[in-house]
Amino acid sequence: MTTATPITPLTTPAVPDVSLEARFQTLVVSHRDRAVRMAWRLLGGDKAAAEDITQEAFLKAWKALPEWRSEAELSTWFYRILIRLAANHRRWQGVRTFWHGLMKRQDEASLLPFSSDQGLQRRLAQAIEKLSPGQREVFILVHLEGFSVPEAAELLGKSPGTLKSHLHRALETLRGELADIQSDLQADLQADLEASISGDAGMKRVEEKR
Amino acid sequence: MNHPKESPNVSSVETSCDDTESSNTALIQAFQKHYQPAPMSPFEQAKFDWVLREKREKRSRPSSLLSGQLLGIPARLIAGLSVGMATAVALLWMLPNAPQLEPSAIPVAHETSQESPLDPTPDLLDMTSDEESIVASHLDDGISALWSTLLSDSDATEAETTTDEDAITVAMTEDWLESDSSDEWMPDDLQMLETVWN
Repeated sequence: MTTATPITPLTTPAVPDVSLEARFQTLVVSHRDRAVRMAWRLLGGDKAAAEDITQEAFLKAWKALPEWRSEAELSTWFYRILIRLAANHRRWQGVRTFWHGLMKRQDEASLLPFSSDQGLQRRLAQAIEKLSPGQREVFILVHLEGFSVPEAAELLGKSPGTLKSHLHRALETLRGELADIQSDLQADLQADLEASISGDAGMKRVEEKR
Repeated sequence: MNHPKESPNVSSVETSCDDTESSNTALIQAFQKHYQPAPMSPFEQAKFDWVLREKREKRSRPSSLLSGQLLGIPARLIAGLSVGMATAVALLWMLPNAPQLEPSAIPVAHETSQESPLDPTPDLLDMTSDEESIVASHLDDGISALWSTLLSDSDATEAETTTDEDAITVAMTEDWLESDSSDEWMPDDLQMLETVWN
C-alpha cells in the first residue's frame, strides 16, 4: 500500500514563514553589539551588568515576539525595554555596587595620567555621572548612539522639547566638568579632522593614479 | 550707517557661539571615541549568545542541561556520559574544531581571520543545522566515534526509553549541578577556555 502524498494547496507561500526562533536570532545578531554598548554606557561602564541587562531585554523580547509583526517596531520596543531595565538597575539593584565602584574608579583615575586613554575614559565616566539621569540618557542616546531627538523621545516617552532642554544642560555641565582638558579634546578633534582630510587626499591620489 | 560700538559685541557673540559649538563637538567626539566598551570579540559574542540561550531554556525548563536542550545537544547524546565528558562535549559544541588544535596552531589574532580554526563563527554555532554533520565535521576522530556509537544506540533508545545507567548518570549530574551553583558552572569553564585561548 502506498501512502498518498498530500497535495500542497496553491495558496501555500513559496517561501515558508520565518519562524519565531529565526526572527529572534535575527534580532539578537542585529542588535546585540549595539545594545550591549548602549547598556554599558547607560550603566556607567559596568560590562557584566550591561550584558546581563541586554540578555534580560532579549528575554522579554522573546516572550513578546509573537505580538510584533514589524521588526522596526520590535526593535524600538526592545530598546525601550533595555533603557528601562538599565534605569531600574541603576536605581535599585546596583546602587551600592555602583557607588562602591565609582568611588574606587575615582581613586584610580586620580593616579592615571590624562595621556592614557584609560585615564581619559575614566574622566569622561566621572563627568557623565554628574548629569541627572534624564540628561545622561538623552545625551547617550542622541550624541553617542545616534538616535534622532524624535526617536529618543519615543524611546524615553518624553517630549522632544524636554529632550532638547536636557541636551543643552547636559552639554553645559560636561563642558564645565571637563573644562581643564577642553583644549586637549579640541586638539584631538583637530588631529582627527586633519587625518581624515589627509586620508581623503591620499585616496584621491590613488584614484587619480588609477 | 555705522554702529561702531555694536560691531565688536556681535563679533564677540559670534566667537563665543563658535567656541561653544567647537567645544561641544570636541566633547561629543571624545565621548564617542573613548566612552565605549571594547568591541565584542567573536568569542564574547558566542558566549553572550550561549548564556542567553541558557537563560531562555532555564527559565522555561530548569533542568535544561539534563533535558538535552542546552546548546541544542540532544539528551540521548549526553545521557550516559560522565559529568566531565558531558561538560567537554558542551564546550566542544561551542568550539567545534578545538580538539584538532595543537597549542602552536592557536592564532594570535583570531578575530581577524574567518579561517581561524578557533573562531566560533555563527554558522558553526547555528544549532538548527544538522547535528550529526556538525559533530562529524568538527570533532576529532575519537569523539566522532563516540558520537556515532551513541547515535546508533539512540535509534533504538529515544529519550523516553533512557536506560537505567543513563538515569543514574543524569541523577548524578543533577546532584552535581545543584551542589555546585549551576548558574556559574559553565561561564567559569568558558572563562578558563578563554584564558587558554588568549
